[in-house]
Amino acid sequence: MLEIKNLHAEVDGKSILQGIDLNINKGEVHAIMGPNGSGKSTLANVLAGRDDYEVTEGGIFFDGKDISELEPEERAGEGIFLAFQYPVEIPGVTNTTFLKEALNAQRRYRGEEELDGMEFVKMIRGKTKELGIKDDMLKRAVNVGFSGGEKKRNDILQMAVLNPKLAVLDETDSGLDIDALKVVAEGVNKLRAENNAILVITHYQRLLNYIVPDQVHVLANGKIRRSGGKELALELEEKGYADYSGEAA
Amino acid sequence: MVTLPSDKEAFIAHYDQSKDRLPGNNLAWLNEIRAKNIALFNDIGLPTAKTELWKFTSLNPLKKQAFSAPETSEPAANDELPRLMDSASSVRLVFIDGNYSDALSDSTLPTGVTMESLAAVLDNGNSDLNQERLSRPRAEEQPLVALNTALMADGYILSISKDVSLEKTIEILHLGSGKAESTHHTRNIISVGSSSKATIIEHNADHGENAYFSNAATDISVNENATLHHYRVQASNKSAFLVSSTEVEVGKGATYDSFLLNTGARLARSEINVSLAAENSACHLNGTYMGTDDQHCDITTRVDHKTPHTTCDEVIKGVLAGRARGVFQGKIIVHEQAQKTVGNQSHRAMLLSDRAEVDVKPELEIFADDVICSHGCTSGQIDEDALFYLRSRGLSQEQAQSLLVNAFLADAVEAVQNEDLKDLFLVRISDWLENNPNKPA
Repeated sequence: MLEIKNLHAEVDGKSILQGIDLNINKGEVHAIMGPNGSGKSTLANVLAGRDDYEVTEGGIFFDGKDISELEPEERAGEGIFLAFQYPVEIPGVTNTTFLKEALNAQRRYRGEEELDGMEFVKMIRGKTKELGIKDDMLKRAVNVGFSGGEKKRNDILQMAVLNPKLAVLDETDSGLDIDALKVVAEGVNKLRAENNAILVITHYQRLLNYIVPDQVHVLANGKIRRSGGKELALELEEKGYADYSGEAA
Repeated sequence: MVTLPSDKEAFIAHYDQSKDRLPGNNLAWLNEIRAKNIALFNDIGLPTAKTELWKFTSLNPLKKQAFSAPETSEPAANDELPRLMDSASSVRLVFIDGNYSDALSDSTLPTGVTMESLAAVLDNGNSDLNQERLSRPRAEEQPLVALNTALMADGYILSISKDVSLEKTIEILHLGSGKAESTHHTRNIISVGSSSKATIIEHNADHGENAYFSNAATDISVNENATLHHYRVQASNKSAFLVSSTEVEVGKGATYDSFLLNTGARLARSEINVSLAAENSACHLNGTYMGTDDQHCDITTRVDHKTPHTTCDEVIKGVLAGRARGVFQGKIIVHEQAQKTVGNQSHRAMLLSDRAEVDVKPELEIFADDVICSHGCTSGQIDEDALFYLRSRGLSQEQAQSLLVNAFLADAVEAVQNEDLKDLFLVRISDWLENNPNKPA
């Protein structure tokens, strides 16, 4: 589903990613772990198509299509979803408005019928029920005044509504206590399916106790240094990143 | 020095040409104040960059445009006239090129409301209008009001008697007919009787795209325990020059609540001065403005807190694209005896283009020691993180920007209590966003 080939990227002229190769198939969960400054968040932003991040070499292929030149909204339409490390607050825009606009924009992109008000309400009520989210969250402005946990739950709700093929979770555990972390992981697990994939980007192993990956990759100095099964995460937890941080590109 | 078509001399020539046919020209007292005011205007001249209150708003574009002397011809209506509210919930008065049209206005006013046109009142000569009611507290700072007084040809005198709670909104349409290069100086008077409640919405709109110059002055008194909601939708064409000066006196326990939605005109200047000289008087001066191309929007307010226990709230938000320019000058004066004053002012501007500009001058002058006053002015670009967040969920750059700008402006509309009008303002904001393509650089 996702093929990253020899990906080089820079931010403000500074080279951050220096040749990443990664394949993720349908139904898989991959984790990327790495020390601070290794390029983890850059990779997440590059996948989502953020403006200031420039791909200088290599490519990103999604379902066989090169998406490295697509706009962020086009990538969303293709089925890529980025859960932000720090979800942004949007004063004055309610969750309902936001979700409806986003879903219909993606449906338009894919040439599908837009949902009308009634259909949308019915659909979203089903999702909130499924995830155990209170309906009043829908009336609130996007992430405004939300606790860290609520913001992440809101991301899960967005995922449930937008139903992406690939969800990239960028340090989703930042600022969450263990209870909130469990709730979020539970939400992610509910959305796991045969035809979608998840890429978890994290510094700490603890999230991976709850979202269990099929593969773990160690990212350091802009390159994947090692790949392995879920036991690799436990090894990193024990030994830290010292073995990788010394390696220059 | 090059003489520009509409320099001071041109307006003085307008006075010389039209003084014998202005309404009320058989009233000695009126001729006297017209003469006095044109002399005052002659002394001061048009405001320039050196005029403190006009520091950020240049009238040079106006001066470069030729205008003809005001005409008092009968208005002619051709097309359908714009209406903000349906006729079930409003009565509409119509002014075309500054002149009242009895034929086009709704004939029945709600009980307790009287409206006379200034021209009719002056020509009949039997009103209680006098020199005092047409004079301004700081006349020497207001050369354009002086010009208005010298040349005023029409306007409305609207009175709401006491203990009346109007269910219908009074809509006043100021329509430009498309007659090129016209000038109009309208003078309006509103008085709201004690313990009455009224909503007035003024609407500036045009049938043509031509330049004209509208110089309006309005004097308002809101009497004891009365509430006036005074709204304005300024949607003139982008060649028009609109200058207005509103002077408000708020009585004991009374409230003056205003909201301006400004999208039109090449140059629009709205000056509102409020005097809170009676206990528990309050005012709300709220609004939003949107500008694009080379539009210029100036909102200048002054609130004088003159007695204890008076309140003023002011929330203005603006969005500027293209080379548009916004000006906000907000002065709050808390006089020595005005203890327990509450005054809050905020102005926020969002710039959508590198060439858009906003100039602000908030001023607090506080001479009392037991007051709660705050003011805040911010201006900035659209939040890039929010933009990316929305785009990453599938919204296009344009949709995302529109959603964010809409939310930014809608926040100011929250202050409007009338739900129908709130909706109307929100629709206007969405329409503006739809019709004015974003011009990022």
